[in-house]
Amino acid sequence: MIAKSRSPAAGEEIKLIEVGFSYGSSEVLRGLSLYIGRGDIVGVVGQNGAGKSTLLRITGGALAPSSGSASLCGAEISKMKASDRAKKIALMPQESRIPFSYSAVEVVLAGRAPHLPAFGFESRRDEEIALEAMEKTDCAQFADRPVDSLSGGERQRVMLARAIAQKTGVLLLDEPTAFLDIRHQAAIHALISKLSEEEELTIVAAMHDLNLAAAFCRRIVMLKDGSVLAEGAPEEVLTEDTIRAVFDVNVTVGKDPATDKFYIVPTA
Amino acid sequence: MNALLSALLLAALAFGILHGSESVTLSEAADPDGRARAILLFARIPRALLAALVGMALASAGGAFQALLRNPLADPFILGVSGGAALGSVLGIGFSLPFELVSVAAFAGAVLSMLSIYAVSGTRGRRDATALLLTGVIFNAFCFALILFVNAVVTMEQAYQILFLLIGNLEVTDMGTVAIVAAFVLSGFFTLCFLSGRMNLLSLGDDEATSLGVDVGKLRAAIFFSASLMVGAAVASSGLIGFVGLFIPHAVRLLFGADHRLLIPASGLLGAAFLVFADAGARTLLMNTGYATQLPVGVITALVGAPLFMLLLRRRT
Repeated sequence: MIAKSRSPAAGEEIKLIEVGFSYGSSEVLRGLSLYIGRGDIVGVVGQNGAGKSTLLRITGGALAPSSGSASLCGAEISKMKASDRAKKIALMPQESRIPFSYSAVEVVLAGRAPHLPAFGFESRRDEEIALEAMEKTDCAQFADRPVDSLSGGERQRVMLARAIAQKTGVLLLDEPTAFLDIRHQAAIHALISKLSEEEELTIVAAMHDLNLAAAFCRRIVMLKDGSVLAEGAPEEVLTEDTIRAVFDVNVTVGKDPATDKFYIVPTA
Repeated sequence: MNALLSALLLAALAFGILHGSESVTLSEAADPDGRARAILLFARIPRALLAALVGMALASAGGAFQALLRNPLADPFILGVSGGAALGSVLGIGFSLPFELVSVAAFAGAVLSMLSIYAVSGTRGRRDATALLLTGVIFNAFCFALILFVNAVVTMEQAYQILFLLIGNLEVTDMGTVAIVAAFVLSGFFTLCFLSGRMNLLSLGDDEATSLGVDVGKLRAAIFFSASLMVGAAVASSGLIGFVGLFIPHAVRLLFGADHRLLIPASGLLGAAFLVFADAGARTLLMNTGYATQLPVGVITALVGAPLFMLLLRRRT
């Protein structure tokens, strides 16, 4: 069974209505509609090329939709002033190559830029916020190391700290834990849950690992060919049927009796 | 730190002004009718000032292009504007224009190439760093083909002039030229300093910069145009002085870190000081050797800059 999109509830924050997007002649998103409420944790899953990153970039204002509308609290995201939008939405792209030897803390401090005047240096308060964010993502211990000397996973924690230091209400994360070891994966997802509960952050994450998505997201959005195939609570959406429909792979979905968490394993 | 570099620049200027094929002391210069005073006023001072301005332009534009293209190998001559300026100069020399008009032709070449590179690089819809870089590199190659073509058909005397232009040479200068170059270089320099905070964000990536509140398209245009005008003015007045624009920003990064808010002003000041010293060297190195000529300063910049850079790189690792 394929779950239908739910109707908008009160206090919705992000609204995508019939969003379409093409890179040149290749259509990536078509007629995609989605409602994301305040404090929600939404995992976006789907095949490579299904439009997950594009969806995040449109929601973050890095791309303007070719058709339809994407809005935050009623304001069209692509029409917001860049500096205003940066105070409300933070986007952590998939992998960042940084060509210069900034120290890790300098990269995190860049997250404070939207709160500074056009030309200015960060205050002590900004530095405190940056270090606090680095402690949350467990990277304060290498604050002074050059980012180009860090491992992929370490750099990812630095980039997440930068997004957190931006102090926005919405966090858009593209594969936030792709390069992390299992301990840091768990820690980052616990942090994401905490941020959404304690600070009411709205979090949208593109994810490949369906088990992680099931464990940590409150809602799952499943994309196929640029539109929403299914949406809802993890156990409603991540079924053997939908996974076969989206990924063309047979899986067994079960529940671990000890933890009551459900899991997905491919059947040979 | 920038105060320190400003002091270094002042010292360089004093050195460059007092040092030359004919030694001049301040007490001699105090004589209002003396030869020493004339040398200072009409030769040394304008030339030292021009060297400082060109060094400032090349080094700060080099740092800005490295941020713009997110590529530490970028230099001020990579985006094609220098090729257009050099072509303008070479055509001016080829048509035997007077010296002032050659500079005007060079600057016109710079502005024309800047506008066409900007227009062409945006035709695919997205004017990203790669499109800009490719357009610039190809435009440069085309200009240099034309320069070599002109070089093949002019007289020996003109070909010699073209060679000096390609190596980079600070010619005899009057204060009027210095003032015009100063107007372009200083306005560009202060604009780049003002944009330097956003260069940090741009160097993290287009999406990151957008997410951090930067209007990436506008910022890219602002950096490209202000740095290009500086480079145009520099090439028009002194040819293609190499290495300063690549080496100085790297040296600053190794010494003081990668934050562009320090890097851009520091590169400008250090580049200015470096080129004044290099030019003093170029003027005096062949003195008393029997060669009647002065070296083009472009020979010195790479000759001194490359080993210095190696030394810095070794010390850091």
